[in-house]
Amino acid sequence: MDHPEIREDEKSIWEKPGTIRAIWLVLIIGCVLFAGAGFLLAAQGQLVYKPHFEDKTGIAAFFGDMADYFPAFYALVGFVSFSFIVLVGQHLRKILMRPEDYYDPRETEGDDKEIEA
Amino acid sequence: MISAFLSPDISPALITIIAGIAIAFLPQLFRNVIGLGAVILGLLHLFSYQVPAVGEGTLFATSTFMSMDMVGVRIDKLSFIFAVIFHIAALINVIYGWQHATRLESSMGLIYAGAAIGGALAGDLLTLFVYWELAALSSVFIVWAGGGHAAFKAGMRYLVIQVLSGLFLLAGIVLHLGQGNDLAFNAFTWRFEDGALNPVAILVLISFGIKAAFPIMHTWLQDSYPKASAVGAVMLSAFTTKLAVYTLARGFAGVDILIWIGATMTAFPVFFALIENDLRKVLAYSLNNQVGFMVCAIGIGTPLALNGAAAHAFVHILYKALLFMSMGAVLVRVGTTKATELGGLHKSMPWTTIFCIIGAMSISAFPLFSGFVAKSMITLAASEAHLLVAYFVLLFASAGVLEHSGIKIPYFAFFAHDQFAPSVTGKERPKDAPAPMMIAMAIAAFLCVFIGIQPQYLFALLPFEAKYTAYTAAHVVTQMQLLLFAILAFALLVKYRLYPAEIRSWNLDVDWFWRVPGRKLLMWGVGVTASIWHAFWDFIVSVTQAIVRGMYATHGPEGALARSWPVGFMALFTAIVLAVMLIVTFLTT
Repeated sequence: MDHPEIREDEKSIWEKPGTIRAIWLVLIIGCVLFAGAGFLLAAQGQLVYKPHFEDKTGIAAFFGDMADYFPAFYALVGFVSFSFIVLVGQHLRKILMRPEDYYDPRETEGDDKEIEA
Repeated sequence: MISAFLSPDISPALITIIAGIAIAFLPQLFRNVIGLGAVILGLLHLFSYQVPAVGEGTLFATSTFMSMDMVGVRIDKLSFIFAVIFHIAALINVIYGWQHATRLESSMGLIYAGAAIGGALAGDLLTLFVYWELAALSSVFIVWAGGGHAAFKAGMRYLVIQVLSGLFLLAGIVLHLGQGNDLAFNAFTWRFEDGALNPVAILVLISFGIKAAFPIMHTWLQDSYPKASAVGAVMLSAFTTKLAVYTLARGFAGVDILIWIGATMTAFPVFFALIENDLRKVLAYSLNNQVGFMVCAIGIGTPLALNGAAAHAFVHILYKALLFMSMGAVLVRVGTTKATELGGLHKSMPWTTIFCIIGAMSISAFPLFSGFVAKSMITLAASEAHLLVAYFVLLFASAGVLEHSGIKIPYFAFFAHDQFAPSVTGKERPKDAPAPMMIAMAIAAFLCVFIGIQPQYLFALLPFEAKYTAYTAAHVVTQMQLLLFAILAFALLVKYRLYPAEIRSWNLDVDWFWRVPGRKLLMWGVGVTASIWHAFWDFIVSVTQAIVRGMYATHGPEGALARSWPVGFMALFTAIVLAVMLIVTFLTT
């Protein structure tokens, strides 16, 4: 879908390239900081106050150990899960997507409600 | 002080329900003031009870019905916390709808809230059943109040499914009594001593599961909530599923199967929410996912997990209402909540944007927001129970929550592509939310932050004794890692144009099975039944016609027996009189 360009004076501070660069910077610093904090806490033995998944065997033991001992485990889970959801999830459209009035042409009738100024 | 003039035998639920019925006949200002007063009175009344531990509940409003003991009000720590949050939700609803709720919505909204409160306080199964059905019957009007053909049909589907849940409950109750049990609503026996499953437990679990929107039974939620009005959707989001969470916690704590049902519930809506265009429907899927966390916690069943379920229900009602309210404000001002039609609203709706982001950060469980203190209880309980798979699914779902509720909702509604620039539309930008909506959002947002910063007040309400500290260095660091790296993934996906664009569309869900093939099957069944009936009826008609024709031939005006009609008639009449005389004489002697 094409989006018409808006005038420069209609842009808010959140749409200025400078702000977007700043957001990137804060995000990356935050990531580094908390990943680092994970390693720091792990070095002090505070990240996991006791291992929870030591009874597992086989492949489960591998993942259990990751959860118990890998200091950036949650960073990894966050990144991988999110990417998986978006990259794989969007292909569901191929199976599930239908026109808006699929069930009933009148189904979309009340969708656009009256606007109150 | 309240107890001086309100007997503890008067259920707080009745106050709200009676107010809801009364205000149906009053003008708007009276509706609002009385509604507000009733909910506050109910809340004060609730707080006048002593709250004992779970299992030692004090019983009020007891009566006997057909030699069964009924308990209108059971107060213990589990019923109490749910009754409290239902009151708070009702309060927010009244304020949010101050200007926009229709007569039907304000009346039914209170009755619906009262039904949820009554259900949470019900001490026996029959009382629960009554409130269970009342919640269904009152809430369907809120769906219908959305207006239009689509809301009407969705309301009908909603009603059928909700009433079906009640029928399962009733069947369970009858069987339960048949097993020689009393009516008291406590934990159900899941398995008998010989290992066989208890059919009562299965029936009741199906009933509760329908209302909690278990996977496959979930579609009524996504079908109906987005079709309600701006105000109605907020009302609907609070009660039905959380009443079901309460009843599950009461009846099925520690039942293993709930762990897997709950884990499934957290995971699958994540994908549907991703591709859904209507942001209120995204919130409906998100509701599903959140209730999944609670159901999973109930399945784990340790004191910490059950506290987590209760705490999560409490905070969830607040931030989910807040998110629905912000989308309601958008609906009122823009006329739609479809992502394809939205964007850039932060420029003219800054307060709504801020409130929405507070709701989004709460649901994503950022530290210092309410979701964090509750959800980490559940994930901790899963890891302490050594449930590796469930733990991973919950973490995965946490990233999913961030995707659809934390980022998608505020991003597409208030940022993304500016759709309302005057140079493009030629119109003024939409205004920010009306004042009453703003106040209601502010209250919910305040509570989200307050609980996040001062969780001890929420923890004091929790039903069980369990050691738990929300703010440990490890909790904060691990959660921040998960969230920030997920946001990093989002930023990269958007930058490299891998994030899917929104598309005006309808995405199928399992309700396709009964809305397309199921409907065809039903129609075929109706057709077959009708044609069998017609054939049968034609047969009866033709036989009758043949008999009548035969009689006509002999008794008709041209018939052989009609020639002596007057004589024949007199003879027949005399015979009838004689027969009547005979019968009367026989009966009198």
